[in-house]
Amino acid sequence: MLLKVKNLKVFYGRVEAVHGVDFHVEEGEVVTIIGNNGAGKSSILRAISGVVKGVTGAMYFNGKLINEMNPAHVVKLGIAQTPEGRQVFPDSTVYENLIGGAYIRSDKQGIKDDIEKCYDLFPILKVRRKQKAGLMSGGEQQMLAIARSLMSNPKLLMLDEPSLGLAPVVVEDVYETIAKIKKTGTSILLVEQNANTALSVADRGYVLVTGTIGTEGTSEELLSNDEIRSLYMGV
Amino acid sequence: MTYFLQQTVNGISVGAIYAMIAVGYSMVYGLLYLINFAHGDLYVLGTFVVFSCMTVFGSQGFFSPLVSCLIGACVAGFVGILTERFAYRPIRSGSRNISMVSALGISALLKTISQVIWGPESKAFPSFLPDGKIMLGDIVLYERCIWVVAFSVIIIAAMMLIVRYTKFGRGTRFIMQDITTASLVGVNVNFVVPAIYALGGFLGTLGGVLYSSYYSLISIDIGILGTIKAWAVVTLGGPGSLVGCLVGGVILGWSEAMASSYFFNAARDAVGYIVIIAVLMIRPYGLFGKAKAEKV
Repeated sequence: MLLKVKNLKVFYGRVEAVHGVDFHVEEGEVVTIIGNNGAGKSSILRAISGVVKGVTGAMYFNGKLINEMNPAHVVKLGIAQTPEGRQVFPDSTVYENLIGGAYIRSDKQGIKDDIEKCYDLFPILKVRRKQKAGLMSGGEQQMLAIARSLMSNPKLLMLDEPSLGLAPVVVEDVYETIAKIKKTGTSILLVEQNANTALSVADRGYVLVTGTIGTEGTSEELLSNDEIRSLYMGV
Repeated sequence: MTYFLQQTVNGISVGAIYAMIAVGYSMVYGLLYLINFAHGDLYVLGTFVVFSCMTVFGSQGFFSPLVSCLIGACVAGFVGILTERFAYRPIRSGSRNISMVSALGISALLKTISQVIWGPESKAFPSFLPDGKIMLGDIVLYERCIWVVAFSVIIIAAMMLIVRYTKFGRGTRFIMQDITTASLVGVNVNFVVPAIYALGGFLGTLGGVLYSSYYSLISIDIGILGTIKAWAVVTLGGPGSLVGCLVGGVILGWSEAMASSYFFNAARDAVGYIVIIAVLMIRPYGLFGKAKAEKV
């Protein structure tokens, strides 16, 4: 088991945002956590990455306890997070952003090769490589943010709402890319509000309702669950 | 005209010192948006250590002032790391106002420590800068002016190279853009931030030594003065920008020299701020600053 999370609670001061969730990600799997705004999805990813403190429960990555670990250390272990809202480094060029993604690495040749791989996966980034990241469109920034995460060579890629604020046609592009990344064997933990789209690429899913996991199952099961269809897909 | 050029030379030398003092302040502000009130008291502490070392080792020659400067700058750097660890880091994620109060507290603490050790009265600082002068026509060019400007430019240029070309510098630039995202790509924030505080204390002390050598004087009060000048330089040049420090420092020093020589001496401290207001009306983020877009 690549990632195992047991009874995770996340606190912001005295406010409990996540009330004890259990889930896991197997090697090579794409797992999605779906839920509405404010359900605690981002908090879970932030807890795994170590950018929020005040976490109880246990999180294991490859059998290793990663609670309260320094974020840089988590990246070194092989977990990369693409944060919500396309957080690229706006004043740096596309190329500098990609190099930045490889911050923890020191194998120069490997980094060079991986940048070429990123350009293959996201051709637009090659075109824009000398441009400041902040000047690109929302979809391009999202692509860059994902590519930057891949530059750390992660075993687990965590995506926080990659569809947020993007036009439907751009969302399709982003998800096509996620499907391609899945084919390379990288495990993905995908957090989404857009349940339909997320389940289309995921193997399994968890439904998060105000900080607790309500339902879980394979994507087919969740897609055919009437309650979920009416709550999250407006069907 | 001679008078004007003479005052320009003086202004630029003082401005170069302001720039050195402002570097640490600027970097901290660029990284954390923290107005570090303690910056001035930190470099004064370092400068006093240099002063004491020179009393012990002597202030003649080349070697002992150099060693004294290094010791003082390292002490200030170390105290910078301590203040970051114990006064700022625990409240880093809190509001900026909380950090500001903490900074005021540290400022008072450091000032009191210096005052207890070295006393409240100002002292003569042994100037180790060369005393000679060069005549350029009617203009007197003091050798110490050249040294001060050269030293500041070299140090700031070295800092620029570090920020531009090293991994540490890249991490610094990423933190300036977004501290959380920087940590998500693996920048070790708890290494880079204290290192910047240390550099701030280190370079600030070198600036303080230049200041004290230039005026042959050291006193507790140059602390708050330095904080205010650093604030002015950074507002003018743009937070986090090293070129901004240099240009902002020179503009501030030059306009102060002009004000005190063409108006009256007391206008000196006011004119800098008039220049700042004028610049900010055109460029609200300073001459070399970047607008930080807030995403909602």
